[in-house]
Amino acid sequence: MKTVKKILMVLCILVIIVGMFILGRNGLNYQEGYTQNILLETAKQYTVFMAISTVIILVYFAIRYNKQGVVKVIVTSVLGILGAMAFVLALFAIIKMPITRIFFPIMLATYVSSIIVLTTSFEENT
Amino acid sequence: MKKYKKTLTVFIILVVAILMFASFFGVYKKNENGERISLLPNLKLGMEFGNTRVITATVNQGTTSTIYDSEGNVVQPEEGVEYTEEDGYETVEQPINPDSAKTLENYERAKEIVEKRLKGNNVSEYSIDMNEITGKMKIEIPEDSRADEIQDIIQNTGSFILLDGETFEVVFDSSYLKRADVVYSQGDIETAVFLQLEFNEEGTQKLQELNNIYVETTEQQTNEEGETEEVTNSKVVWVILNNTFLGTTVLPNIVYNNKIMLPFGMSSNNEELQKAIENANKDAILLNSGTYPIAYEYTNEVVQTNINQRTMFIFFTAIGLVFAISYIYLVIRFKAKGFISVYFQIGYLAVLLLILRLTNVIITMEGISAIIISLILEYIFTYIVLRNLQQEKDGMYKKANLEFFLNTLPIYVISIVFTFATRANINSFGMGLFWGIIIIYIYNFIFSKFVFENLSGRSK
Repeated sequence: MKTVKKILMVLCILVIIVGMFILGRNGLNYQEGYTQNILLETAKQYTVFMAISTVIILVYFAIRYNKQGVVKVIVTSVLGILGAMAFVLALFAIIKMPITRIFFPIMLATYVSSIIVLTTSFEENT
Repeated sequence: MKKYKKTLTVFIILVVAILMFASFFGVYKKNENGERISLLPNLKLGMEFGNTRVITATVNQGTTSTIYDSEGNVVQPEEGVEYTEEDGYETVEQPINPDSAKTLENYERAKEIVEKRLKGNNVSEYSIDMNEITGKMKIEIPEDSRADEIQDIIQNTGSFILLDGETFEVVFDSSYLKRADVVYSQGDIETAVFLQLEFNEEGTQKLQELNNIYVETTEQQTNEEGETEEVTNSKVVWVILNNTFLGTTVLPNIVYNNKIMLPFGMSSNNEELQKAIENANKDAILLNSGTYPIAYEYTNEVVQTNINQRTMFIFFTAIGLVFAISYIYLVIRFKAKGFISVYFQIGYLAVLLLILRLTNVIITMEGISAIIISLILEYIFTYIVLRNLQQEKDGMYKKANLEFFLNTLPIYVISIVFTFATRANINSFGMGLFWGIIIIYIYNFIFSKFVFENLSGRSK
């Protein structure tokens, strides 16, 4: 099981690296009037709220799962959240999925899912 | 006791069925004219599901012509007269926006002004796409009953000007403005609403000077018959607020304590006062947002949504398929209880949609995402409950509740933080998730708990 996990982890990292490379080279596939300006502008609005909620959640994680090691919990959480979002972004770049209004709902769902998975994983180890 | 349990189970299932029917098909009654009227408010959908108005603001590249005579005086052109160089006139073309004004800083300032005006007027759904090189802005707002009004607000110069009543020269303008506020003055019978303009130090000083110039003066004059009479002369200013000419006046009529007070209404009627406050507020927002540093040319068009029925069908079919597979798994794993749980999960979606209708939440794409996440959470909750109930021990429902609560606590944080957003798309996600989580507890406690426990032969 551990080997499977490791293989999956390596695959995810590979996807992120390849995706980020493609993203840097070709950018995203904007469609239906959606532009990079709109994407960045919307991202700015989301960043504030996501940052506030992430900080609160990290504090909660650090208190509740302190027996698992505060630093380990926080590092795992930050990497988990960022990794999940980078993975989805990489997929968008690799498969050239059209970037439309659906982009942020997908990123939000990824953010929430990553937090659910992290919480479940920490709860299991409690 | 067994009969009572059966009756209650049937009753709960029927109530859920009624809720599903009401949510998915609506509740209607006939009015006096025999027309069907919905008793429930419609779901408020975001602008991406309807038509939008795209206002394009392009930096004005035009020029203005100024004619000078041979002595260098500016000439007011008259119709039908040609002002040629042979006659000693010189026409100088000047760009409306000099190159020095076409900077990224000014473009961003203009964008900020648009945002302030939209936010100030409670427009929660909009997008601004600005080209940093040309300064061109594409502002997208919902095409609804307020679209014209919002377009006017965007296009307004947002300025306050006083013109000399004789020469029409600008003697004072809103470049001195510190802030604009709506204030009230309560009389014995009526209340007056004013727009109060406060100015910076330089502006206050200038206003004091003007307050001594633009006044009403009374002089004693001798008429043709040799009689002495008092003649009143007024040196007036023209008051122009946000592109609207308000009238002419002497300054002491509108200047109090070095502030300009523009009357917007006086009444004892609440509705009239509210209307006056609303109008004054709109002007205050325009003035506080500032004046555009560059001049724009505007065009607008109504754009139909990109999200057509086919796209929606594909999207919901894909999501529906994933849920169908998950529900089949529940039925296989938990048999009768799994089957009834699927029924309750559809009921959950119905109740959630009903609540979102009643609470007037705007459903955007992000809102739909929150509804889907809520459905997944409800699935997880049901799974934990059914798994725990399989163990046939007392207090399993409470244990399932606690397990679910601990696993989803961070999601409550996200939902609450996001509900504070003023932008409809972010707020919709927060509100959708917030109601989704609350309803998971209430709905399952009221409806599914009893049925699940009853099916397992216990009621604790």
